Amino acid sequence: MQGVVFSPGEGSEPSFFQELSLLLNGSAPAVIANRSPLFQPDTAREEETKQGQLTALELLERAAGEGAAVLSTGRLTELALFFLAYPKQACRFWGIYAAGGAVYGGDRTPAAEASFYEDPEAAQIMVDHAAGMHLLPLETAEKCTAVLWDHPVPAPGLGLMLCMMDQQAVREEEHTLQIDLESALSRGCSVIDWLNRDKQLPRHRICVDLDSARFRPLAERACTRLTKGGGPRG
Amino acid sequence: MDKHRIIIDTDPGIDDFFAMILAASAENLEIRGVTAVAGNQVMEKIAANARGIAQFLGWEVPVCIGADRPLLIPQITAAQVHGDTGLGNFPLPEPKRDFDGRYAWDFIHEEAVAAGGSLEVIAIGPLTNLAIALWKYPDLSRLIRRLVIMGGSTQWGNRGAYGEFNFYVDPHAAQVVFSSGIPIEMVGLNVTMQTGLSDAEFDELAQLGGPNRKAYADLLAFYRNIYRVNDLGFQIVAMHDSLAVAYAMDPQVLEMRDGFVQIDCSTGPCRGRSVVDWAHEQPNARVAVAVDNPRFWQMIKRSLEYDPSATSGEK
Repeated sequence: MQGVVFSPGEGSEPSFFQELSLLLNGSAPAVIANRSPLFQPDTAREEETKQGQLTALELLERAAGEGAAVLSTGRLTELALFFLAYPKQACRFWGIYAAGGAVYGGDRTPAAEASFYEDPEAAQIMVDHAAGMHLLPLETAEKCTAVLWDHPVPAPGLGLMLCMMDQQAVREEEHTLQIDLESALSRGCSVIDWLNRDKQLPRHRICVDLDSARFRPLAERACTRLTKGGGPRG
Repeated sequence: MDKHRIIIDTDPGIDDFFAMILAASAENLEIRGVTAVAGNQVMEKIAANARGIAQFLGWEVPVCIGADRPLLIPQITAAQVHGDTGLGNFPLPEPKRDFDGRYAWDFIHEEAVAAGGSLEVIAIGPLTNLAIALWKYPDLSRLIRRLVIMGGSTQWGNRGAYGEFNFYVDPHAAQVVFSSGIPIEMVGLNVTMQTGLSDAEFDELAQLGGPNRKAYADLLAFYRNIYRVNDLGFQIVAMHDSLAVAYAMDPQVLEMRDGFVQIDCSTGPCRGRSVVDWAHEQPNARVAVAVDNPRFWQMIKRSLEYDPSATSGEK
């Protein structure tokens, strides 16, 4: 693993980054990206300062140089800015896997899933720049549940890992995708054109289903490592 | 004489070309570099034009490539106005230098830091490079002394009903820039259209001295002809981008008013419209409302007689 970029969102636990760093235990760098959504300057948040530490963009640049894949479970702000500001480097990622968007109904609004709703412009930039992105929409992500300390917890990141590691375990379809930026009612909604009417738009790989029987062992292995205090392999 | 330290962010572009000639003739501008943004033509042609013009003018400064498309919407160009090359039929010299390897936004930030707050940017194309720079470097808005923009309009547009071309191409970038806090001087279509040339003035330009008189006259004729043979909705040929440079050289050439500017980013009929609230308590820009035409034309005529080959080394 090349590293973790944590973008605090609404409802993020304040202690999460500290716990994440403990979990990584130095095996890979972790950075907090405090950048506000692209079109919503938030003066309350501090600017991302270097102070001897890696910035999120630098971490992404390093990972791109290594030909890494990116798994994203939050809003796409940092990734979108990376694709804009480092266009030559961004094409070196071997895959982009994002949990976000929804086929029909959302969880933040009736139309929009939370990650895309928090920065829909960033999502649209990724749609435009990262052709062939693997997308795990809400309806499929809801099947990705792990049991941690006897409690069911959502685990979209594990769903993404399944997409990445086991193509036989998921069903992906290629479709064009746009993000609604203008409608008051549907802002942040991911509009998947199942008929691919506009031949000019790039297509993305929408994970419409996954094999729960193959997901379960992955989730169990991950939870076992967590509960036994093991860190992730580098 | 204290010189203004300038980066020109451009999408050449016939009128960009004449703006850069004007900048080259200025004694009070120090050109630190040129950054290219897709607009009037596709990036490959824009970048080649930017490098070629810099070489033609004898500028040994970095020429950096920037954004090849708008932030969020498909690219459109003005090939029907500027021709297949973007510079009509003007023969640029064979390139002798490579492009600077830095992205436009990184170069702008580096120069801004090095200038310690005295850098000015003249933006005469879509504002995509500036928007990416502001997103990547949140401190940039404090490091740029002022941003002189050719863009927008307080009245009608030339690409949409209200949308001037630069803002129409990338309205989201324009909105990012106007929200940034950078001191902005907006030179819009409402004033640049007041610099429209009559046939007599066109003919006068063709009689000017200078080693490049014929080439300039041919290019101006190409530019005028485009408006005549195409149904572009109006027949005024104006030196839009040159007016922004002229203002950077001499603030007396324009009358400015404070206003709060927002950009319509919708895809409907108001796309790219610069909506100015003159009564806002916290203006975010100075907006040009009137032009001293005789003053401006004196500057243009002097620039067209300027001999680029007399320039040696970095300006």
